[in-house]
Amino acid sequence: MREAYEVIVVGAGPAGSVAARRAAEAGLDTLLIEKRQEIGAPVRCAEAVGALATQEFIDEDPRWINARIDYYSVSNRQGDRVVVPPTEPTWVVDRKVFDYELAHVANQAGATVVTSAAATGLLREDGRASGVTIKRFGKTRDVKAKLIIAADGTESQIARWAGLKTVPPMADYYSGAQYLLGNMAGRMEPNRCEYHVGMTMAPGGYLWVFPKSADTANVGIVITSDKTAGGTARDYLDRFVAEHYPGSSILNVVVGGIPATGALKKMVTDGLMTVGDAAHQADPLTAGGINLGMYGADMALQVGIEALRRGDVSAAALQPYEKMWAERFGKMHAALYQIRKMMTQMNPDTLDGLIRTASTLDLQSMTPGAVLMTLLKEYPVMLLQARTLVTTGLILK
Amino acid sequence: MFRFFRRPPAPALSPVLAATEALAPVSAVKVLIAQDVCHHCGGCVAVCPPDVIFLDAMHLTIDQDGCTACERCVKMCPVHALEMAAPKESRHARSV
Repeated sequence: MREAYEVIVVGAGPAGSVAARRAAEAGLDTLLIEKRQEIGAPVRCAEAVGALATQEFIDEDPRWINARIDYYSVSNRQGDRVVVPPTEPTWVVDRKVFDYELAHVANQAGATVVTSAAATGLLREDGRASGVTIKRFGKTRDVKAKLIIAADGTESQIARWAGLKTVPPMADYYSGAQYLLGNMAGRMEPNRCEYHVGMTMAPGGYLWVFPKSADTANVGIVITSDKTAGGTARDYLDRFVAEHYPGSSILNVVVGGIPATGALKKMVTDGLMTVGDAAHQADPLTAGGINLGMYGADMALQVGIEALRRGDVSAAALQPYEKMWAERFGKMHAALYQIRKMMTQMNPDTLDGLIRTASTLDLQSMTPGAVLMTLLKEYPVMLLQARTLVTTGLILK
Repeated sequence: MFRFFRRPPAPALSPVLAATEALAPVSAVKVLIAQDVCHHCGGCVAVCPPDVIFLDAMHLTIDQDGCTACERCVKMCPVHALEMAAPKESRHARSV
């Protein structure tokens, strides 16, 4: 590490590594720091990604692809199951290898990568973010940069030190827990991702079973943080596992929090841009954020590189990034947010009934409009949420 | 609100002292961390309005002076590694 770089990226998750790589590819002197001693570990993720989007950022590699998914299913608490093909091919990945590879690619592009290096403070000059204080092996030093990329995850303190408003409402913050379960052969389909919904099983959220191999699966849950009176996310997960997978072994434990607000309105400030979970760039319904974070990083650097070339990294010069994001994902995420709210407020019996009815339909041969009409006929109470349905119907077509 | 004023009033030596005693916080510690339960996920950091929780790579600390005892971190924690300070009822008091 030197005393100054053109770009410092804080956090070597997928978003941070893509940001560092883009900066380095543009010929900028780039530093990527990661507070943990190992990139990608510990994992905080259910590890499913849309393959097409992922391939925009890294070439397919069997070393980090654990399972290839052909179907999704959504089940209610009675076990009725709706099976649908994914909108794009899906992979369940090994984040430890995946994240490491992305950082490695950034390094190959010319970025300096340093692990066990925690950002403990933000430097300012004339009100502009001008560098970070980095603590490594007990020693602290200041490192300057023309542009700082905060990719420090859901707990981003860089963004908050820079004055951005990142604290989410509790109803829009997922509390999650996941086990890597063994002894799963015969209890799941190795090419199907399962979702389980229901307010009694996962208040405000959902459970998932994502295959990792023929015998193991990521089994996890998110609930919203305002609905933890009945227990923590792990308590709910324990109940689900005891009921569905008795005798399974817990090979790994993952916990974490995920913003489900949709991206921050204000993602930049003078000399600083936020990307990934730090900018709340996660899907407000499913909380998936790997590809979204990488898209965010890509957009941020398109704007950031141009701003550096012109020698103006003021908030105004960086704001086109926010606009770019809003144009691509704004409407869709607003709709997904509304769907989540609708499901949260729905009577549990209605939600169960919807899934039961949908499980009897031949979804593959019906248009989404026909499916919607059938469900509305059965559950006219949904008309109360008609506005949401119309909005989402238009956007999801 | 009154959670932190739980200490039973001491026998009154003077009305002023008695009032002071009754209103004094039970302890400066407002949220207890069970380090052996914490998985260092950072969710509590994300939801903390005054930004007084810090996650070093593998160690969580809370600046109790700035803590407003809003309980958001306790509610968010997926594994119940955080708990409001009420020493007599605490399961985790040993690991403060």
